Amino acid sequence: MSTKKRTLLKVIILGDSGVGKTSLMSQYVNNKFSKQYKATIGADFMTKEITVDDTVVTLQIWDTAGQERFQSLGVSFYRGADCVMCVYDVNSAKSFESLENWRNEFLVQASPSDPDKFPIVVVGNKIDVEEGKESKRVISEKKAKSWCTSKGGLMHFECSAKEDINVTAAFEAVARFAVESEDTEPDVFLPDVVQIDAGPKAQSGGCC
Amino acid sequence: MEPASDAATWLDEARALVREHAGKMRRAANEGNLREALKSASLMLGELRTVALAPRAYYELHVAATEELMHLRMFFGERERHGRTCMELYEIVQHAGNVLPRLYLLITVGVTYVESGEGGARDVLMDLVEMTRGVQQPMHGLFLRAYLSQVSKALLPDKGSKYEGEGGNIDDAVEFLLQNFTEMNKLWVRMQHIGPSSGKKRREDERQELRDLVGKNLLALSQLEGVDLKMYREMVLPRILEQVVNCKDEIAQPYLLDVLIQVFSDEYHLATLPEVFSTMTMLRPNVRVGLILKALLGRLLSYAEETPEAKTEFQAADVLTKSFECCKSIINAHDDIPAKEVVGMFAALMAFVRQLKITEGGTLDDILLSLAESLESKTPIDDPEAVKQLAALLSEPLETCNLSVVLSLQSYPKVISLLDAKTKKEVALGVVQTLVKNRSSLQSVDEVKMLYNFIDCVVSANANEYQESESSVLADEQNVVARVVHLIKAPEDNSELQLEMLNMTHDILLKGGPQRIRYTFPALVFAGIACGRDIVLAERAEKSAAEKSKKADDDAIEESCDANKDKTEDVSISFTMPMEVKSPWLKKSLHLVHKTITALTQVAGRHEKALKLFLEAAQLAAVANLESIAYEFFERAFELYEENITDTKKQVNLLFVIIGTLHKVNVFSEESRASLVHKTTGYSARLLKKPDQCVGAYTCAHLFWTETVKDSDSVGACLKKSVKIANAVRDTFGGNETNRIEALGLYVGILNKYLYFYDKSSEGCTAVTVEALQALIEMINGELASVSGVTGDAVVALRDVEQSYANTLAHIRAQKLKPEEAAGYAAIVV
Repeated sequence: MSTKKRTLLKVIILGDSGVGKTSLMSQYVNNKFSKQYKATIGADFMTKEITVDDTVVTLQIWDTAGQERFQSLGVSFYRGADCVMCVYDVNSAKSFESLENWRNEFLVQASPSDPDKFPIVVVGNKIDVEEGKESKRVISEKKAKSWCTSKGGLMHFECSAKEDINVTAAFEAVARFAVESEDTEPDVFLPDVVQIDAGPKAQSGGCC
Repeated sequence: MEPASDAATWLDEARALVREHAGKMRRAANEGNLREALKSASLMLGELRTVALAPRAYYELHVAATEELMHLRMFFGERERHGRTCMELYEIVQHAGNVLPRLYLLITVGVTYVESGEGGARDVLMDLVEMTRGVQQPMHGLFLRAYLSQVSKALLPDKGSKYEGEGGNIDDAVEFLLQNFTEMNKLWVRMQHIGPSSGKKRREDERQELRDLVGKNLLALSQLEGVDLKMYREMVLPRILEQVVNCKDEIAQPYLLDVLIQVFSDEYHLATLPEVFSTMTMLRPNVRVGLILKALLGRLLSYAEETPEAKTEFQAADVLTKSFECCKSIINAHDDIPAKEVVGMFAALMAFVRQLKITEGGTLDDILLSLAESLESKTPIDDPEAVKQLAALLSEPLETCNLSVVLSLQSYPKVISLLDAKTKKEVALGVVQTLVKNRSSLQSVDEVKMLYNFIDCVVSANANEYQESESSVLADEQNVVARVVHLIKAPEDNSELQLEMLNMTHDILLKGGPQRIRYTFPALVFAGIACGRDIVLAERAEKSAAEKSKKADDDAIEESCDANKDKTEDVSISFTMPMEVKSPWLKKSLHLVHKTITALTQVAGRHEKALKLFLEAAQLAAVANLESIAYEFFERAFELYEENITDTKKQVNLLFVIIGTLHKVNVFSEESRASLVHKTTGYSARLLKKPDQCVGAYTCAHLFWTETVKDSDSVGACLKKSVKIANAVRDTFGGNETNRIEALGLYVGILNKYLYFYDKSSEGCTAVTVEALQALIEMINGELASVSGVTGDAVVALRDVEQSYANTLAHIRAQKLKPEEAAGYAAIVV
């Protein structure tokens, strides 16, 4: 039996369609990579347990659909997130430009208590393509870093889900970042005595 | 439906209760109190039994509750803290009072059960998927199964998974997911049929929101390592497609196919096109099949972008033919398929063809023909979306193929003819504009014929349809049509071919009737003249080159020290001097020009234009030494002037154009010329207003001093005449201020002419002497001095005259300073 502190962290991966959100998660959680593009439907999470300092952290990593038409239930799962990973493709200027939108959309929908300090990690994926024959990267590390600085010093990583470059580092940073941020906000656990009968709530007929 | 605020209150309250029960559950878990933890969990999950929430709000509650279940799962996993085996836990949670909380708890324990190795994945998962049948309220069932699907993801006995083996294999994983998918789809479809028909729209909206829950099962299937192509084709795909077809649901069918296309790999799609295509023919009539086809082809296209060998793979899989066949069978299967669907499918095909750069005319033509035939019974197409797509589809080959390929598409006009009148025109004009934009050229008779066939609706069809009020629309439209003429360009300056194409254009445009040729024929005339001019220039260049080389041979020795001489001589061969042209095509082009202008003279309001065009043509004939033709053109111009131009202002303007043209033309014999000049001076004398006559008179002076005519006496006579008329103007009505200022303006004009012809003294012109000049200057000075006390408009008029006079004098002063001019100007006192 462990005497370590246990904690559950909710991490959400956002970004345009095709930047490699699912690949990053899949590489990190299962060490698997497929070069075939498969759209993600809705939002789903996978979990991974890691240790940060003396804390056992269960990361609940939410992978999301980059295409809006596969987000039919909306984004209420943003609520309660501890950290966000915003992903772009270093070979796609459009995906980089979208970061701003993803970040704003998240902050509006999740409405965290202190939006300016909310932990956001920016990840530029597909740096492996650079060595390939066709595509060339269009977003330099410098450009991305300067954007991150302009947004209040967001953490920035460049990764390759395909080659497993920096993927673990990015997720561990996410976890550490979230743990540190969480420490500043005390757990909102309920008091010992709760008034249960705070007014009977009309249960309009659960049918089952 | 509850009003929004009520729903929000419901959600807030439910969320608060979930938080509250969750808090207790966590605390109980921390204390290792299984019983309390389960009790609170059950109460928390009881909140999910609500039917008061719309899908999105319910989803929020569901996320909150299932996230809390993570804590319970962790607790379940720590056996040392609760002291029960999974089997025992599995038994205990079955005691929960309500079915919904019970099943959530069962699923949660099930995870631990499988994780711990106590239970085999197959048995537990199949048990769970079976038990969840107990929830038949659609939304509750969908979310419950979504939870099952979510938490079971890591437990599937997939190939390579740690749960593979005795506890199950890939077949079980697939079976589990397919069962869950099928059940979810049934719940989802059933939602449509519960409740009163008045809530149909709302139910549809809610179902659209819930769709991803169903779609996720397909995603899970696509993520299984063990599903290879064989298994996909034999086991997975047939079950999915069966469900798609059998559910007979207009929302589920397109959505599921869309998901299928998006989540499975390109390789699988390529290998299973016939299956997918044949499913597409079995969908409900209102399903937008075009969008599905577009999605599938679009997916293959983006694959092709990244994979160089894709094109070969596509050929091997015969993608295009199969897609094409698919379109046809879908259309055959549904008589009442809406036009926009038909167009949508063909648009998808065309886009595919374009992206893969398949530019063989045959393929495109087949597609267009089939499209035209499929839509024949639905004409005219008036659904705006269909129209828009058709127009876009028609513009595509223009952008991507050679013009010659496009113009070989026999079916292209057939497709255009499906449209309503207005859109037909837009498309036709769009065709021309694209060609103009792309600087395309029409290089053969067939191409010309075909293009006019494409745009027939704005060329010759229904010549009399235009209303008076549409004249500006007509003008814009026909000005575009007119631009086609300038696209005609025979290769290698083949004049015979060029003329053949232009003559054909004449015949085609003529059918358009007077309303159209008023705009199109001037362009054709210019094209005819340009053709003739090219012939003339080519022969001149040839001749000058021949002379040059002859000269070079003769003067080989002198040559070296006189390099610039040839150049000077080239320039000195004036284009306005007549020169015989050998090409028979020049006369033919003049003939075309003649008949085209003649047709234009029949159009009301086009006389002025026709007159100017005759004069243009006359110049061309003149430089080619075709005197009688040039004379004919002048005569025709004069005829028009005499019979049709009645407006004084137009008369004056046209008179200047006539004089200007006649001045440049050097082809006429003395007699012919005298006759034309006589007529011209006559027109001038007959102008209505005296000031116009005055200007006319001194402008006519130019007719007597040209490259070939040098007649000082007649120049002098014209100038004298103009002075006389100016005098008469001055003295009208006893010489009031207005008249005197007007006359002053004329004097200054005359003074300028005096100076022009005075300069011609060097060529021997004796019409203007220093004395005459000086006298005129003195007279103007005198007149100016005597004008006084002017008011009103006259002030401005006088200022203009004074300015113009001052400019003239400044010119004289400047000339006096030039050494080479000083002799002539020294005597003039200003």
